[in-house]
Amino acid sequence: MSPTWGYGPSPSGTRLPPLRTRLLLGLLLLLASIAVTVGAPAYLLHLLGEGHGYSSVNDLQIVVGGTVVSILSTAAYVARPTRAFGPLSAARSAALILYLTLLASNATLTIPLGGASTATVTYSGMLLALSVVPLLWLMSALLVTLSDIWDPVARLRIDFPV
Amino acid sequence: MTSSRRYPISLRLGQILRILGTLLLVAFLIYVGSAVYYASKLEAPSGATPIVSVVSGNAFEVSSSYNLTDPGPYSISGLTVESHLNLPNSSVIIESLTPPVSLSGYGTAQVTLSFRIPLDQLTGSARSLLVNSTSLPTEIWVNASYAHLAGISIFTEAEYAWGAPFSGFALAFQPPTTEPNGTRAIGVTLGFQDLAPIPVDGVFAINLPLSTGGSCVTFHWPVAVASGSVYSEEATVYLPSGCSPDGGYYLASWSGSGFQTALPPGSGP
Repeated sequence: MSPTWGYGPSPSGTRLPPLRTRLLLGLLLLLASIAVTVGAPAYLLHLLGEGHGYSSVNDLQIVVGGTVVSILSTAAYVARPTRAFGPLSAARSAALILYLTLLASNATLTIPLGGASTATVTYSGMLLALSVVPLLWLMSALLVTLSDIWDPVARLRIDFPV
Repeated sequence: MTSSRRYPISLRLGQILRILGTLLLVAFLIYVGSAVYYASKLEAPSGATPIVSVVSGNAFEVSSSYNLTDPGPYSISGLTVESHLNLPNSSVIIESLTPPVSLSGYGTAQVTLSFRIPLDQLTGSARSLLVNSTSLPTEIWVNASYAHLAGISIFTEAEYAWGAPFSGFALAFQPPTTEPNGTRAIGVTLGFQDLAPIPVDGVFAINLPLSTGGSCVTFHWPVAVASGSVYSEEATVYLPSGCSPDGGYYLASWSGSGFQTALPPGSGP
């Protein structure tokens, strides 16, 4: 059976969640993702600023980067029963790699320690090391994309068994 | 339908990579979280008492040793301390850079910060360090790599309390008198306090110049003063025939305790 785009009847051996359910859960995922990728870093930057600290990463970079990654993550989740899942997951991972790499080029925190003392923390190495995670996810997404082309139903039977 | 048909190798590999990435993310977050936790436990080393010594090359060396302790399992590598000691009213900056030190997890290491103050290079107002005890502004940069994740650079300023070996050095001259045999003499009082943490044991050479240039008289004044002690003695200086020390200032130099140096000029008779 040729895979539906998630909107038709479930292939044999699978039970695909209805689109409405996926959209609803996707919305929750989007909110949670934005809270983690945008809200938390922005709040930490706010705390840093209140303590007269300084970050070379600004709010705009975090809002744009975090929102793009969150939207792509949500889109991949909603499209999971479809062929679009692989490419969207790959796009999400690539966006995350790009986001981390851009942040790493400018990842410096300056924290006042009282008096004239300051601490400067450079964490670009940490972000580059972290980008190994989306790199693995990207490779996974590409393999899923290939698998979906070759045998579209196989993944659905694993991800959405009866 | 065969098992291989249902679970193609590319799909299996993709799943493995996805799970591996997720596990790596969890491990990474735990690693970073615990590294931040232990970093918050790092304490600044307590202030060590500086040791002042005279070293070869006619210099004072001020050194302070600090014991550093890594409170966590993550290494601190490439730790260096760079510092600048600013001499008073002077552009002279004494620089110090420690060799890189690495601490393994829960390890300790000692960092020794030392400034070498070459007395020969103390010119102008910087020479007042020999006779004025003062606070010297110090800038310190500590650089290190922590847990193979982040580079940390800490900047701070401090004041180093400098104790001058001839603190308050002063010569007081009484009016010249004439001895019964016609020789002219001047009563001189020498006073200072040794506030350096080393004794001073040597000889001052004090020269009273003429207003026209040249020297009227040079006399030598041996002293031996323990660290922290006050010295105050009187002596009589006999002037050569026909010489009047009217230059209005004196020049003093020191030789002893392992160093030689000129002192700032002072008001003469």
